[in-house]
Amino acid sequence: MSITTENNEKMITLMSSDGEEFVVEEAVAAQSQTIKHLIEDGCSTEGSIPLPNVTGRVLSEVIQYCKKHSSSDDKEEKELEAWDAEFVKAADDHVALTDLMMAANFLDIKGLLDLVAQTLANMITGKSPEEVRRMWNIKNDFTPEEAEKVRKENQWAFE
Amino acid sequence: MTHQTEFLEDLIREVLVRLPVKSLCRFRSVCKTWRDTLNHSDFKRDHLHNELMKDSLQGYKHNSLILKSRSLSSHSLVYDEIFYSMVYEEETETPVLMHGLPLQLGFSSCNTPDKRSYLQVRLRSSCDGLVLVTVQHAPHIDEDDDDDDHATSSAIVLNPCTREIKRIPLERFDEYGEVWGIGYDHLNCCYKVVRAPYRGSWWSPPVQVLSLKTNSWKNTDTYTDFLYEIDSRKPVTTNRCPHWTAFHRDTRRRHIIYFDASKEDFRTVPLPTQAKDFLSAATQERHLGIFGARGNLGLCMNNKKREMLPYGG
Repeated sequence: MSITTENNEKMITLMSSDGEEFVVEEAVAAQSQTIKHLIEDGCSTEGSIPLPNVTGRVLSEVIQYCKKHSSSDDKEEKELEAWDAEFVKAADDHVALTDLMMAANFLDIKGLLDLVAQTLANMITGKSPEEVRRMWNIKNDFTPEEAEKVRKENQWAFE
Repeated sequence: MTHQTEFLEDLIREVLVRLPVKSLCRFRSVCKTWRDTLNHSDFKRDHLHNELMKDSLQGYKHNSLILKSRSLSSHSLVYDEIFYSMVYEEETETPVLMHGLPLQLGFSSCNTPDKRSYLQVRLRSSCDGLVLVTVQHAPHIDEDDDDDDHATSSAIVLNPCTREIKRIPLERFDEYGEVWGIGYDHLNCCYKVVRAPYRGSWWSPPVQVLSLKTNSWKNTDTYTDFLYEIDSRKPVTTNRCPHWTAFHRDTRRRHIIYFDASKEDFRTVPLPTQAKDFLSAATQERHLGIFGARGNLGLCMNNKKREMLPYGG
């Protein structure tokens, strides 16, 4: 469904995997290359654009980001950086950040992907392998001998 | 968590390319997939690219230096040379000195454990943070056995960031008679080491090239006659190629030459007009200096002779 606002901005509707609908300006949604291509292919003319990989909670965060970044062309870069920092701080834990990163990847929003990936990188920089495994449910598939070997080869990195 | 694993793996790579090297070395222990990802040359390439981008945005604070100190060993009458690598530690945001590089180079494995002495360690060239080093070991000091009285040598490519070393096979070695360089081959995505005669002539040994992928030397047939007399043993690396200034025996001209690792060939850099005019006097006394910075090559020219005036004159 295409609606036009009073200032002639074209609106489109996005639908999350759990059926929540979001009406946003086309320019905001087009921050996502995936949505931009869908619009170009005429998928937005009828009804809403379904986004089966993104939940409503995550989508609302993504839209928040896109809104800020589509309206900030002439804004100070510093201010935007500070906003970004607050934005990822609000996401708080690594599960929320991982969800956000998956959405940014699916929706193809490079700026957001960079931002979240860097935040996660900063988060795990000083962590131990065991802590990282717990974060992402990764199974340690080394045999004790292999584990010993790889640990020994990189011993300095544990000091 | 309900993340599809495969999908997540791609994304975790996005996180990993942004990590400092020390964390990456530690995370090789997470699982086999991570170890293999982190060891893969594609990953290393992307990580390097990312680091360089970061450098250009943040003002080159990640660059590191290699410092060399020399002291007379207490055990024998040869010099011990110790390398310190100055690395910018991201976690603490301070530059730190990492020392004891000789131990990491594996010198302790040479057969004089209490006298880890060697004649000469030379930093030959570097590219993307990889350092090419040649080592001339001290003769094994053993009074009873004269046969052992010869020096052995080795060549090593060192990555001070990951503390990894790769040994290069070395059958013959002429400490003073060779120049060495390391450069990147864009076509085959690998680093190559080149060794050429320092004072090239018709009877010099051939120019040899080694790919770090295969780790074996081959003679380059195009250079049966390498007729350059190279000015400085240590090349200037820029654009991932080692550069030297050199005097060509045949044309009697001084050139800037560089090793093109993709073509396994030496090329000359076209000189600006002023430099050409300066050098057109075709004399060996006219010198050309080069330096490299952030992908550029700088040039300095000097033809002033040093003069000494008689005392009181």
